[in-house]
Amino acid sequence: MSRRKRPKFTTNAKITVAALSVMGFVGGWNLIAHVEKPSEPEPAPLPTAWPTVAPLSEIPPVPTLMPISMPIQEEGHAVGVEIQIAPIPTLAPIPTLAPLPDMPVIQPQDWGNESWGS
Amino acid sequence: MTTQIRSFNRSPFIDVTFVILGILLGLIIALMGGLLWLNYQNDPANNILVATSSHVVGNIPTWWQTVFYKEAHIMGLPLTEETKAYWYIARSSGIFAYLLLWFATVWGITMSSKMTSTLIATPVTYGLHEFFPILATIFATLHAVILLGDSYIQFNIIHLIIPFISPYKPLWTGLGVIALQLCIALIVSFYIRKRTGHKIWRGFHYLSYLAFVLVLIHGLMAGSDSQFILIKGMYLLTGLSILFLTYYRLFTLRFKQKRIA
Repeated sequence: MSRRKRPKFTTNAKITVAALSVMGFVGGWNLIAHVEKPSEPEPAPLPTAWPTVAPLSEIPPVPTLMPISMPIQEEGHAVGVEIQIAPIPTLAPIPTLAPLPDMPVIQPQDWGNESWGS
Repeated sequence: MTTQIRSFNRSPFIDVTFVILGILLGLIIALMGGLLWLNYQNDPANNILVATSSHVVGNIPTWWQTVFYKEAHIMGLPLTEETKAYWYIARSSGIFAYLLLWFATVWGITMSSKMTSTLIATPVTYGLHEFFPILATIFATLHAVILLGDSYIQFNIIHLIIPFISPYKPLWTGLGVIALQLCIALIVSFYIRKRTGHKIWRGFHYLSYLAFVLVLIHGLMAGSDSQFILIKGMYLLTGLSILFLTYYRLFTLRFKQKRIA
């Protein structure tokens, strides 16, 4: 007759409990982070545009001309048109100034006698 | 039929050797952890931890990677100077340590009242009662140590050792420091009870009630989550359950003593 094996709190059970504890702790960390997230200051709401423009989906369609496909009437040749252009009046001659007299060439009197730096 | 119980006496030399080996192993683990931490602090973008985690994340499906990165960002990771992750970890580990300690206390009272003896085998009951306070103390230590990294609270190691000098709610934080030290002492006392004697150990073990009450007050008064009705409800329910079980334990003890008389 074999004796019934008494259950023990084994090392595997300890590892399992420890792993579950770590998971619980990380879960708590995640939960706190998620709870804190909405309490952070939110960006200020944008001012409402005035006057507001109705969304495009709500605007009724504007009646427009329907395009019709029809053959284009082609012309065989261009029609010549005579253009009457008025004659340009003759312009009067532009008055001009008399040509300038020739300037006399003046030589400096002491050219070559000055001693620079003395 | 008689059962022969085999007993042997371990020599003190073996005990000392195991203790020294345990301390050495703990030092090596702490040293490795410290080196990894320094490596991370030197270059948060390129270090061993980031390289390892990138390698691990690279092997999981893309959809999971997206979820992983999103959740990690919400949880305040990576651990930069401005992160709130230290604060989140401190709060989560604090509440979790409290729940584990509550469970250990409940388990201890039910165990001593023989309420679980018919349902769960005694070695399992004792094993759980031994293991849960250790887990609770580990999480409580994490709760205290992680606050060293928080730039808002500005704790240092002295604030965690000496009670009532912390910059944040010194009285209530001090009660938490005393409770943590008491928990460590209670765990140590369990392993040296053969040397101290059963009577002394038992007398000292009653201080676990005090430890629980100190932790409860610390959580209620210093915990920033105590403002939430859910957390308040948790403290109320757990506190009342301990009160009820203690009363039940005392009542059954008195009844037993009367019956013996």
